[in-house]
Amino acid sequence: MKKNRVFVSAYSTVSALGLGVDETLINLQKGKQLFTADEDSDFSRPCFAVNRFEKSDDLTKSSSICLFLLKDIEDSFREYGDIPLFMATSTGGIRETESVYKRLVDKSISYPLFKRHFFNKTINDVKARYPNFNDSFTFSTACSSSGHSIYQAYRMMRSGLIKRAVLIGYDTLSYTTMIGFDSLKLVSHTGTKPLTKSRDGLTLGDGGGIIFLESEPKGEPLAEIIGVASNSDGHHISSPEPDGFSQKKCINDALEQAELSADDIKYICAHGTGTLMNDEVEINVLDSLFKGEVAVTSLKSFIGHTLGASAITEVVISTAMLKSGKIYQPNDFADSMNERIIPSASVDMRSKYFLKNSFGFGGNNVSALFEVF
Amino acid sequence: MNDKYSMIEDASIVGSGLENSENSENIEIIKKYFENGYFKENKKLPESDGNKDAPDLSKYVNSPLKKRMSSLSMGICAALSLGPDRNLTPEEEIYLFTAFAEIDTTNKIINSIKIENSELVSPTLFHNSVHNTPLGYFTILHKLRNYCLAISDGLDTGASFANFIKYRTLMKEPFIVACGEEYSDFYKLDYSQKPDIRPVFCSYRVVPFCDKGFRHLEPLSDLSSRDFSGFDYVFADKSTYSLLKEKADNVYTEYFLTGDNPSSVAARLSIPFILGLKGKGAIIDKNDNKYLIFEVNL
Repeated sequence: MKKNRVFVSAYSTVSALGLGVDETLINLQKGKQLFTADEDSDFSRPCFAVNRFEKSDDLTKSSSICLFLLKDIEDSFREYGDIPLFMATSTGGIRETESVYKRLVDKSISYPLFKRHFFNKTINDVKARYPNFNDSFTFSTACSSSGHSIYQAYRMMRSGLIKRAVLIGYDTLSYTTMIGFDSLKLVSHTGTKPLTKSRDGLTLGDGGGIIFLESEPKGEPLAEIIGVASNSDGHHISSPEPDGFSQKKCINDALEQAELSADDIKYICAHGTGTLMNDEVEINVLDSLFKGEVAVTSLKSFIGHTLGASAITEVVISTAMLKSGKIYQPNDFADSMNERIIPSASVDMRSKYFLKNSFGFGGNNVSALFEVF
Repeated sequence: MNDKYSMIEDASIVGSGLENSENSENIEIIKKYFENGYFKENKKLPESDGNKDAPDLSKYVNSPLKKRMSSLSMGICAALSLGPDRNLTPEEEIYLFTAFAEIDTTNKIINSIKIENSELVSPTLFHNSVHNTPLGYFTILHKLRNYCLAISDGLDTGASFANFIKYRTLMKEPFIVACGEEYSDFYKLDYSQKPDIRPVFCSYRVVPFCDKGFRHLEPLSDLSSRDFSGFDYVFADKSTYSLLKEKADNVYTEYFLTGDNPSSVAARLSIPFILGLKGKGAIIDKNDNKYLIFEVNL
């Protein structure tokens, strides 16, 4: 059966590095970690907040992020109707719920939780602004959420079931996630240093990414999805399987789909959260599979862990970096966990292919391969 | 439209009023409910108010982990274990459709932070709050590495289910569906509406490209133009049931079981297969301004 190709025709991103790809690249070049506290919370640990959206009674911050992303690429999909919309998140409207919770318990206000707390709020805000979208769903598997958007859209397009799709991953800081991760002792007190021996945890960030996929793009595509795989560890609800068996299989399955060998991959955008366990297992897996020349970095050094948004957001930034010819590390990156595969500084890189890993609570793994044009 | 049907196999339902350890026993109870008219009248389940009392699902989980698991996680694990897990293969993808997911766990966390002013929360509660927690526990309990995904859109989860199934049943590989909601005091905090959310959990295997089974039809904005007299049965949500029952006597609702659960259409789809109904049927779910419709041919 003929398999259709799946091209990335347009993309954008929101993170601590900036709004849109151009601003993101400019700030990446500066090589600094732009820690920013969340404007609405007193959380004491470093964060990568994005405090650039006007507050609105009608829109949640999640919705604002998604609408910005759509606006940034709307010329690419405006003419089409009936585009399937694949959303992915782990927090939805939690942030706003937290801000009204006490008054709800006190019964001093009324707030439509069923309409605003759950994930349909953002989809409905998107559809109200953009009638281009009909069928939609929100995937939520913690930190691998938007990896599943890539997986599902890729399979549907390869099979010819759909010709185009818009994928959006988004997540915002909330007390639930900030304090939750801190309670698991997974949050860095000094700012995340992924893939280093001195790493001491993750730093959370607001984030979002969008990609517009087409089987038959009109213009020059930016990239192509060439393989995606996903599986489960079946091991532990919050820690990865120590020997990385499922992660290895996931990566190998993606390579097999793409008809590539490990030697073909020169850049890997790791999940790289900055926690002791995640980075150790992931780097051991990558070291065992990729014996040739390869550079592994974690964009969470720059944007933090954007949870459900991380896969798509980091795919967009990785693609943009490779198109620019350079992979960026923070200026003060030091103490690499593995000097063979993790560069100590930014490196020039003209690589056709890259791998993006995405691992979530519940032992949920997604690995996706891209060809960059 | 797909001219091929999809079969549902190894279906199971657990929850209030369906708490037997053998799936066959729960199915017999559902058949008795059907015979005794529960699907035609808005009866309450016998011997319990069946609504908010969480059924004891811990007996389905044979592991110390059950102490950490929510009602939703135990219910989904139970439904999967009693149903499709019996013939599960490593290649089968498992999809959880849940409108509110681990909402009670989330509510406890937010309460802890905003009301009790805790600087830290229970680590167990936090890692249990993600939407794929039930599937995570299922894979851990059974040492599985299957593909798992949770799909969730609040009150619109029925539409998400219909949209997703429409595409997924056009791929030949069988897959697993699980659905359900748990009760939480969180719901009481919305003073504008009071949906009746019930702890009921369902799971089954979908086998696409069959000569009989169900298939997705295009949604309708108005049912008045649709003639269901040629159907042997129609299963619908409560409001659609009320609309249609005046015109036809072949209309049923499983509302007494699933209440207002937004994911209930996923369970409703399995009812004809569980009851072993023959002939042509329709499964309808009202979502916003649209009627989502599946045709069943068995």
